[in-house]
Amino acid sequence: MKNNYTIIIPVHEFNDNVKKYLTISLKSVDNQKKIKYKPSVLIVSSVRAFDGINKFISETEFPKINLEIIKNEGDSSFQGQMNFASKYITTKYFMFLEFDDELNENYLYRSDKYLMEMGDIGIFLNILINVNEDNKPINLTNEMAWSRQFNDKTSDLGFLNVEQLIQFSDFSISGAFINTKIFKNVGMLKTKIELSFVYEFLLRVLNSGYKIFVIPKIGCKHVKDRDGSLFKNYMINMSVVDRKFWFETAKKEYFFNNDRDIVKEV
Amino acid sequence: MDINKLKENINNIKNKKNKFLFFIPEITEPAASIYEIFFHAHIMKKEGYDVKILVDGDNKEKPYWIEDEILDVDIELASEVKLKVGVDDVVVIPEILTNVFEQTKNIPSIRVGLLQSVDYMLNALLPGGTWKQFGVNNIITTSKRVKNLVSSVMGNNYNYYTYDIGIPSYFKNKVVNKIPTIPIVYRNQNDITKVVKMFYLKYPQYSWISFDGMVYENDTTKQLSRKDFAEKLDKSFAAIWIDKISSFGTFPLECMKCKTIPIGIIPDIFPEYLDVEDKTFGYWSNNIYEIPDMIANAINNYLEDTKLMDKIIKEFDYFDDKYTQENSEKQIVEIYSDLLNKRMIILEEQIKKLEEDEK
Repeated sequence: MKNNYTIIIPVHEFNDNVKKYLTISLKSVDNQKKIKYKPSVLIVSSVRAFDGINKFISETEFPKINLEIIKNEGDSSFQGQMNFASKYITTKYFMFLEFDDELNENYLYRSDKYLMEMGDIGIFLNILINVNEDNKPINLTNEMAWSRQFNDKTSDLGFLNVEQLIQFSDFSISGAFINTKIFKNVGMLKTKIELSFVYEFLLRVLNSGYKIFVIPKIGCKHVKDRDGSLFKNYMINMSVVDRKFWFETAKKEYFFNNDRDIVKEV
Repeated sequence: MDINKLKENINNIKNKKNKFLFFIPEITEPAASIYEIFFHAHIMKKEGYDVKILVDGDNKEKPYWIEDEILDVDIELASEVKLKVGVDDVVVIPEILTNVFEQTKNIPSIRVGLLQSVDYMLNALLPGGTWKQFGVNNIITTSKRVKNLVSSVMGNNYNYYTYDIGIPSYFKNKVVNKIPTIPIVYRNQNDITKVVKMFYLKYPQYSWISFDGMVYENDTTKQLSRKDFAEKLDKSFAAIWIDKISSFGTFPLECMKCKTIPIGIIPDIFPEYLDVEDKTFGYWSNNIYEIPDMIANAINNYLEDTKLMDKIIKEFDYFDDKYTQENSEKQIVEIYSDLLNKRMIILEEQIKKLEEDEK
């Protein structure tokens, strides 16, 4: 398999901490075992991070990656960055990777087998190990799709469904392979939804009739609640009422493909 | 004794006009040992003999869990069937049916004890009892280790035959991406319950991993047919086997043919196929309390596709061309041919003796 996917890494700002994690992340792509091709990585950078990233990339060698950087002069929110980058994707899938995610060394080799075997899947999630900033494992994410608590039939194990997601919202798209065409068909990520935009996106993909499957493999390590991360900031700055509001909003908005204005009642 | 009758018996053997009668206990649940008897019967039918399966019980329904290709032999209730059995006929009785040994002990025939389980054999025998007292001189076993054990206990004055079990070819690896569910096969429900409880207690992070009792989803009281069982086994990355009294253990072989990792307790009779230098063939222990750790280790290796995982799976290639039904069939035919040849020699000697007496 060659060039079947592109890995997108959005970067909003650039500092020593980002540099530290981004190096680990890119090295994890560079060190993939058993694959016989160079994975393509597209770093999408905000205007303010661009010079720093560009300098870092020109000074660092990642010989087994085809690496490109694009500057996003528009909406630099997480969703804005991803939507912007998706316009440059020519491969069937793209993988979203946070700059603080570290791929398992066999993940791309293993994922190829799933991408080849299961062509009709909209999104391939993976099982993530959440670690703290000292790299100590905390828990897993996305593994619940393989639990009989959610799927009482063996034939459905590994697949998400709307009923399941309505009950349990904690699924992540880090390291996920997303079908590029489907991403665009369903309206991409919504920039007007905060906090629950991934949840809303997953519900929308399912509601549009596409399948979401969790590859039962450790895809990547993800630094949970890293200082300065988007979701840590939500946890700090957003009230419980507001958090609840965004999840309730997601449950209403997934019926619509367009990025509608959200009216927040006071 | 009538010379003509004896000559007729010899001709029957030569012309395959004699009968093969295979006794089985009443069929309830899928069991490799019952499958094996049907396999013998199928082979001898294929060889051109008149073959019957005789059930010691009230149910002669064809077992749904055996594939049609094997089920080409008539099944009768032993209590109802009226058969004339002669010295040229072969009667095969599994070790568990001591009552049948007893009831048929005066029937003239080539009597064969099919010994797949030492445990069943010992349970069925009365203290001080032997198979000789039932007129059984021939014993077929499915493992050299069982043969050695039994001959050390019962003595060498039996004709022992051993052949290699054949695993049906539908036990093979077709699935590329195996799933994180774990089939369980066990003799004692308590053992497996203990293992599963310990596993979830010790490894709550793997509470999403499910164990599979290998039953139908729409009828959980019904166990899978052999083919469905093979298909499901192939999908799973690992399987647990706890059967301390097993005399051979077809399940680990079935696993390895499917490239599914067996995790098991080593039975009292160590399976001979596991005894290969420098190979481990999955996860094995003598201690049931170590099984949860082995499961967790296997899950880790599976989730991360480690080198160890590759190494374990690669070892299973060793069995690709071993324990096949083709090999097994050849050996089974040889055994029964030898039994028939020996019987012909005896009959010829009897004729000779009678002819000399007449002179």
